[in-house]
Amino acid sequence: MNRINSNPPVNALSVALAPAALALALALMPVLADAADAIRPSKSDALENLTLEQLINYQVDSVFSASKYEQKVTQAPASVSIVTADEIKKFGWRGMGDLLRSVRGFYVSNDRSYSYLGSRGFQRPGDYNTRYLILVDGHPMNDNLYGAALVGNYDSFVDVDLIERVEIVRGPSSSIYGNSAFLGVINIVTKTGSQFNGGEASVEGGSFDTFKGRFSLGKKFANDIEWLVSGSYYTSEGQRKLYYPEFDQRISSNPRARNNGVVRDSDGEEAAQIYTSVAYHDFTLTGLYAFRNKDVPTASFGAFFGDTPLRNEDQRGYVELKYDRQFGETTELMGRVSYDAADHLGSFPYDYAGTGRPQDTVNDYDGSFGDWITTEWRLKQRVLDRHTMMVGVEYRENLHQELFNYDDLGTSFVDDERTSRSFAAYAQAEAVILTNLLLNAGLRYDHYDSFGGTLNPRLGLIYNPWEKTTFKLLYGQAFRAPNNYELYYSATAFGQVANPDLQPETIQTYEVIYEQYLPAHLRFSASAFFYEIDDLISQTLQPGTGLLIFDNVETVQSKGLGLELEGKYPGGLLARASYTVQRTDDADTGDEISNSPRHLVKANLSVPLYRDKVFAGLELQYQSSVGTLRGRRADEFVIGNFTLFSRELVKGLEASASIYNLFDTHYESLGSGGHLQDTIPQDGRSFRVKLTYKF
Amino acid sequence: MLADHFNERVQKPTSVGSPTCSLIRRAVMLMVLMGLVIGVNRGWGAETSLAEYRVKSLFLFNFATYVDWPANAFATASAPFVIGLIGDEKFAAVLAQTVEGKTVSGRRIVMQPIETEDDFGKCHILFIDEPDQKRLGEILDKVKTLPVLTVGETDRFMERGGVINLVKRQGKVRLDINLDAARQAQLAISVRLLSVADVVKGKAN
Repeated sequence: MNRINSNPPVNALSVALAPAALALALALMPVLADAADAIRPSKSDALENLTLEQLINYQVDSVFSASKYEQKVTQAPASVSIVTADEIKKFGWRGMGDLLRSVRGFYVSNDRSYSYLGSRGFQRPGDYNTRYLILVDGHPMNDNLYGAALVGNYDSFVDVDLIERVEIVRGPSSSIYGNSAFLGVINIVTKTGSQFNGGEASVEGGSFDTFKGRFSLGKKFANDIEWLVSGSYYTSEGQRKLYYPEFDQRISSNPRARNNGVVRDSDGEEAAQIYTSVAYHDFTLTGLYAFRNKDVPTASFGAFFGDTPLRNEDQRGYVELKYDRQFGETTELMGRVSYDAADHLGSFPYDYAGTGRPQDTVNDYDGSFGDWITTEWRLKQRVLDRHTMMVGVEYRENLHQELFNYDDLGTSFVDDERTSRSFAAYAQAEAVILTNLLLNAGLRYDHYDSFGGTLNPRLGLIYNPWEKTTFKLLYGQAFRAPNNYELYYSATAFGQVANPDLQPETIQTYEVIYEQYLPAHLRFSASAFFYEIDDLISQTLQPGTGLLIFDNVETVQSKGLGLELEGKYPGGLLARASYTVQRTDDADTGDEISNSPRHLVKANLSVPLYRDKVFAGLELQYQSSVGTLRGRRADEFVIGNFTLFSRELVKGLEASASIYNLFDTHYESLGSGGHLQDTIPQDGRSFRVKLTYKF
Repeated sequence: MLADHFNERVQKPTSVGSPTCSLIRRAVMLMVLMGLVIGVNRGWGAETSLAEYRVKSLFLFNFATYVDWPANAFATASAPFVIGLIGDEKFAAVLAQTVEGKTVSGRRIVMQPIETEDDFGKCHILFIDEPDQKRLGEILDKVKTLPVLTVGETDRFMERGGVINLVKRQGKVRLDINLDAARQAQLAISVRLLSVADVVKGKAN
C-alpha cells in the first residue's frame, strides 16, 4: 500500500458521501430495527443464552468516571459516551486512536510520531494530550514530565483486546481528579480474569507488513483469587516510501532539503505490552509495562532528512495496589497506592557541518525519566438513604523528574533533575432535591510545589421532568499545571529558556445537555457548550532577549453544539450518528485558532448478517477544514472504515477482516511548530485480518 | 519529546471560513433529518435501560434454577413457579417476556404483580423495587420466614433481611447474597450461584 502523497485534490465524491451516508444510516435505523425484530421474536435476544458469568459481566447503562462511583449515565454531571469491547470487535478498531475517532465531537490527528486528541474545537499541534486525563481502571497515565498521555492505536500502552469498556467524560473534572482533567477524562476499564475464564490467543496482520500477536490467560479460582496475565507484541514497517515536497531541493529552498524529498523505510513502529492483575476480595494488585518505538520520517525539530530516521522510544509502567471495601450497604472505602515510571528517549540525527559542507551527522538525544508514588483514599457515604457524599485525599511524591539533552560528541545541552510533591483534598455531594431533581456539587483543592494552590469547583443540576427525559445544567472549572518541560527546559544553545514562574492554565465551562429516550430503542442527546481557557501556556519570544519561552499568554473561547442519535437493538443491530458544530477563537484577536474543525460528523452502523455470529460494521467520519499553523487551511475529508466480524462459526474462534480508509481518501494532519511540513499526509486505504481463539 | 532545536517559528493562523449561516443551515438540516427519522419510527419498545431490565430479568430466571425450594413451597406437583413483583411496571413487562413459555423442573414459570400482603406467600421469588426503607423493612419482615426468595435492587436490602441484592457496579449488575436470610427462608442456594456473587453474607447451614 505504498503511495507517494502528492497532494491530489480531495475526493469530491467522498465528501459528498458523508451527509448522504449519515442520512441513509439514520433513515435505515427503524427499517433495520423492524427487520431485526422480525427475524426473531422480540423476547429472545443475544442475552437469552448468557451464562451466569456472562450475566454478571454484562455492561448496562452506567458510568463510573464522572463521579468516581457508579451512577446512571443520565445522572452523571457530564456529557458521557461509553464504548464497549463489543463495538471494538465489530468496528475493527486497532487501538485507542481508532476508537476515539468514532466518538462524538472527538478528532485525532497523527504526525507519524504520536497521535493527538482534539475535542470541542481545541487541539494544539504538538500537544501530547496534556489536557485530557487518561485513566486505566482509574489509574492516571499522564506522566510527571510533560503531563503527557498517549492515545494512538499502538502507543496507548493498553492492548485493545484487554479493554472491556471506555468511558469518555467530556468537559472539566478537576473537581474530583485535579490536574489535566481539563477538556475531558477518558477511563479505560480492562477485563478481569473471570471474563477470560481460560486462555485466549490472537494474531493479526495487514498492510505495511504489520503483525501483532497476543496471549492472555485469566481465571477466577475457587478460593476467590482472580488472576489475569496478558502480553502482546506488535510490529509494522510503516510506509516504505514517503515524499515531502518541503524537503524536495528542486522546489524547496530549505537548506535541509535533499534526496528529492523522498524518505525510505523510516516509518516503522514496534510496541509490546505486559499486563497482569490479581484480585482477592477487597484487594486488587495490578502491574503494567509497555514500550513503544517509532521511527519518524518527518525530520521534525530541525533533524537531518532522509537516510537515518529520528526515533522516539517510550516506556511506561506501573504497579498499583487497590483496596475497595464496602461497610454495610451505605459506606464504601477505596484506597490505592502505586508506583509509576515513564521513560522517553528521542534520538535526532543532525547535520553539524552546516549548509554547503560535506555531511557530518551527529545524533542528539532528547529525553526524560520520571517516577512517582501516588496514594489516594476516598470515602463514599449514603446519607439519609437518598443522598451521596464523597470525600477524598491524594498525595503524590515525584521521586525523579529528569529532563536531558546531549549529543554523541558528549556535549550536554540540558540536564535538569528535580523532585517535587503535590497533595489534594476533595469533596463531592449528590443531593436529591426533589424526586426528579439532582444537585451534584464538587470541589477540589490541589497544591503544587511549583505554583502553589488551586481550587476547582463543578456544579451540576440534573432534572428528570419525565421518565425518559433528562436535562443537565453544568458549570465546571479545571486547571492544567505547567509541566516540567514548560517550567524548566532551558537550552540557550537552541534559543529556548525556562520559565519557572508559570501559572496553571484554567478553563471555565458552561454546558446544557438534553437526553431523550425515544421509541424504537433510540436515544437522542444534544449538548451545547461554552468555555473559556485563560492563561493558556504558549511558546512566545522573551522580550529583550528574543529567546523562546513558555508563558501564560493566550485566552481562547469556544462555543458549540453536539447532537447524537443512537439505536441499540436486541438482535445486535447498532446504529449511531452524531454531528458537532463548533467555533473556537483566540479571544484577543478574534481569529479562529488552528486545528479547529467547525463540523464533525460520525456515523457507525453494525448489522448482524447471520444470527449473532456474523456482523458487518461500517463507519464514516467527516471533518471540515482546519486552519494550519502557517495560516493555510487543511482540506475537509471523509474517512470510511469497514469490518466484517464473525464469532463462533468455529467453536472458540473469532475472525475479522477490516478495510481502513475505504475510499482511499487523501487527508492530512497538521504539523506542529517543530515541523517543516505545514500538513502531514495520512495513510491511504489499508487492510487487516485478525483471528482470536479462546480455549 | 519536544526537542525544539532550530524551532520553526510559529505563525498565527488567519481566520478563513464559511459564513455562520451555512453552519446554522447544516445544523438545522441535521436536526430536521433526525426529527424525521424519529417521526417515521413507530412502535413502543424503548426502555430507560433495556439492557439492565433484561439482565435483571434473566437473573431472576436463573435463580429459579440455582436455588432449591422446600417441597412445601408448592401446593401441588404441577403447581406453577411464581415470580412476584412489587413496583416498577416496566420491569414487569420485560420479566413477563423473559419467562414466557419457560419452565423450571417441569413447572411453568409465571410472573405476577403483587398488590396485597396476602399474596406474598404465593410466590417463590419476590422481586421488590421499594425505595422507601421503612416500607421495604415491613415487607421483608412479613416474608422472611416464608419459603420465598426475596430479590431487591436497593440500598440496605440485605441488612433489612433480603436474600439477594442486585447491585450495579462498574456498569454491571452484580450479586450480593445473604445466606442467613436464605436459611431462614429454608432456601438452599447452589455453590455455582454463590461463586459469581461479589458479597456473600453469613453462613450456609
